[in-house]
Amino acid sequence: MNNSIIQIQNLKFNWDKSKVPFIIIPELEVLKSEHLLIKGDSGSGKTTFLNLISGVLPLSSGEIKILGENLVDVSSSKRDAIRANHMGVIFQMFNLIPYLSVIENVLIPIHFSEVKKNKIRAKGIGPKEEAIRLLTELGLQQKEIHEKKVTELSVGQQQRVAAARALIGSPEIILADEPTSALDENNSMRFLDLLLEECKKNNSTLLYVSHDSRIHQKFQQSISIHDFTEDMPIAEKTKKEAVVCS
Amino acid sequence: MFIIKLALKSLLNRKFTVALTIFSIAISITLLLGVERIRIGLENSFSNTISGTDLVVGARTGDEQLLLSTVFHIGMVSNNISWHSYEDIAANELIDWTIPISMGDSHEGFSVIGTNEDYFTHYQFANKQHLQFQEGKAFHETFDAVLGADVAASHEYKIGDEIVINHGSGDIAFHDHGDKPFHVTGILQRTGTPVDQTIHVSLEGIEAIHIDWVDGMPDKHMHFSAEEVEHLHLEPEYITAFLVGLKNRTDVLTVQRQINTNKSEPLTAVMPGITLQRLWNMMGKIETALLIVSGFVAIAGLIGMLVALLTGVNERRREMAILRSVGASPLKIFGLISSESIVITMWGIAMGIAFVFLLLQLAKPILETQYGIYLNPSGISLQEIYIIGTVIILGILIGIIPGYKIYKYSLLDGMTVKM
Ligand SMILES: Nc1ncnc2c1ncn2[C@@H]1O[C@H](COP(=O)(O)OP(=O)(O)OP(=O)(O)O)[C@@H](O)[C@H]1O
Ligand SMILES: [Mg+2]
Repeated sequence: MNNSIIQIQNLKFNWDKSKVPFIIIPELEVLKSEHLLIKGDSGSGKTTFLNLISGVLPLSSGEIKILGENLVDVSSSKRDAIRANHMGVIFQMFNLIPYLSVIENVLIPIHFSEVKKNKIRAKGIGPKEEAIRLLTELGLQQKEIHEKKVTELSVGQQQRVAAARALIGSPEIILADEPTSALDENNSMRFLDLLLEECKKNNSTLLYVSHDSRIHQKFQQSISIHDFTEDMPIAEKTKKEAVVCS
Repeated sequence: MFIIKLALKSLLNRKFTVALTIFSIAISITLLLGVERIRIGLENSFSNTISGTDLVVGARTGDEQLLLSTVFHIGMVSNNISWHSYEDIAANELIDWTIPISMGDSHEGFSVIGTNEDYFTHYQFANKQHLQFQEGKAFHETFDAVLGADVAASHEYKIGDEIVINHGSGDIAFHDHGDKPFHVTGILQRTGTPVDQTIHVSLEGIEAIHIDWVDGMPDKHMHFSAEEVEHLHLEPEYITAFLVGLKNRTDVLTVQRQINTNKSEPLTAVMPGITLQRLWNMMGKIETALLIVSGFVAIAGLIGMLVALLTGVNERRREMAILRSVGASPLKIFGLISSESIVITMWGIAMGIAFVFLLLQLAKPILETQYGIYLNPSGISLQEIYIIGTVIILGILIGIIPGYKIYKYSLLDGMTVKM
């Protein structure tokens, strides 16, 4: 069966290779259209973990397979291509390029990926219509917003534009790194619901980082990456790390 | 291509900083090329302090010394040329014209030279320009004088004014020729050469004021008035030097050899252009100083650009993280940042070149009339191409620095940009 989107084996990472790794994941599999919540204290390595999956950071040991392709084996330009073609990313903040309009920001991924472009074409519409469709579904239907300067948007609106950019071209994997931490509770929930709904429609796999435990029940799977202190014995670390629950 | 479009939009977005950066580069280019142009102009003007003259002839002495005294009126040659030798040589059929020059007197620190009217027809300076009169005309009478532009300006002399010539050079006169004043008949246009600081009178005039002098002093027993002296035979016995123009320039070495081996008295003939060039090279320090100044100007401009670019780098890390997240390779990001810098450099250089030509065009009349600096009117010189090329290369190298910094960040910055 090939429903597996992300497969991780024996992943260990530390910035300084000579030190004990702070991210240790013996095994993790994320299936197609599965929604995974990643929890962990501040500084525990959640962002770093997403960077490893997206291929921005090269990993030091273990393996990560994305759609069957092992990131360890491929060149960095191939990792860039995998990210461009199969992933969409939402950051915590500063998601948008300030000198581009809302629509232009949403369309950025199209310029870096023929795969995404072709997926839109297969739907029989153009990239711009697709961008408008996504923005509308995310609650940004007003025409004047589309041509606005992104600096004139509220933070919540900016995050929805970022979501549209991540979703355009229906990538298999959406990585979201605490995208609601700058939003109030109501908006956070609304944002998350919209994102989950869009991911479902696209059959996208979602990796969602948050330290808000209340959203737990909205995800099929969750892992927590713990914050280990340097002086803890390794044995204890391995026991505590990467608890996978369902 | 998207990256290029992005670079342009980002430049537009920062138009104020970008414009200032371009402007600062333009200014350094302007100064660099301007200084270079003026340096070449100075050198050319110096080498062409006298032009169109094939040989300068004086009593046997060093080449530089002869030229400094005859053309710049600096120092004196101790020996004279007899009028006979002069006439002999002037009769040489290879020679087109000669201008006799007699020196030794002064007026208020300006040198007085005795010559004939050929001076005004044959003397040339800069790019073979002839002397021209602002006012009046050449001398005709024994006590007529033609003033250089600076001489006239310094005392606001007008046509018809009387001037008294001092014996010897220098400001302090021990004896003057107050009994025989000269009248201004003409004022020359400014040349930017020592001609401006010269008073020209006829050889007869020089002879007339010295005819009743002995050993550099007025004769105690004999005195002629200005009227009386006019009736005397005023052909000089000696002159200090003379300028030679040949019918055919290619004969210059032949004539020079003939004069240098002259039997009747020892003479020296020098080619002014070559000797002036040699003198300029002896003053090479000026040139080095100008070059060093230009170099520092350029370095300052490029450092200014680097500062402007590096300030932008941190602001743009977020942008780069976004581009990385959609799959842009670090190399593309490097290209984006570097190409922006290169565009800025190129614009700066283009604007600088435009500025320099505009400014030189505006400054040209002033430089020519006031300072006698004639700028090369033709297009861009090889030297300037080297300069522009060097700046382009340095600009590109400097543009690569922020590109490289961003490149390194972009390898590490992933989801969050920590600032
Ligand atoms: N570029 C880097 N170089 C070296 N160490 C880094 C770098 N980025 C992060 N770290 C370290 O790696 C660890 C994990 O950082 P990371 O950003 O992944 O934490 P996080 O779980 O995302 O925290 P938060 O919830 O605050 O975002 C931290 O201890 C941090 O000090
Ligand atoms: Mg984080």
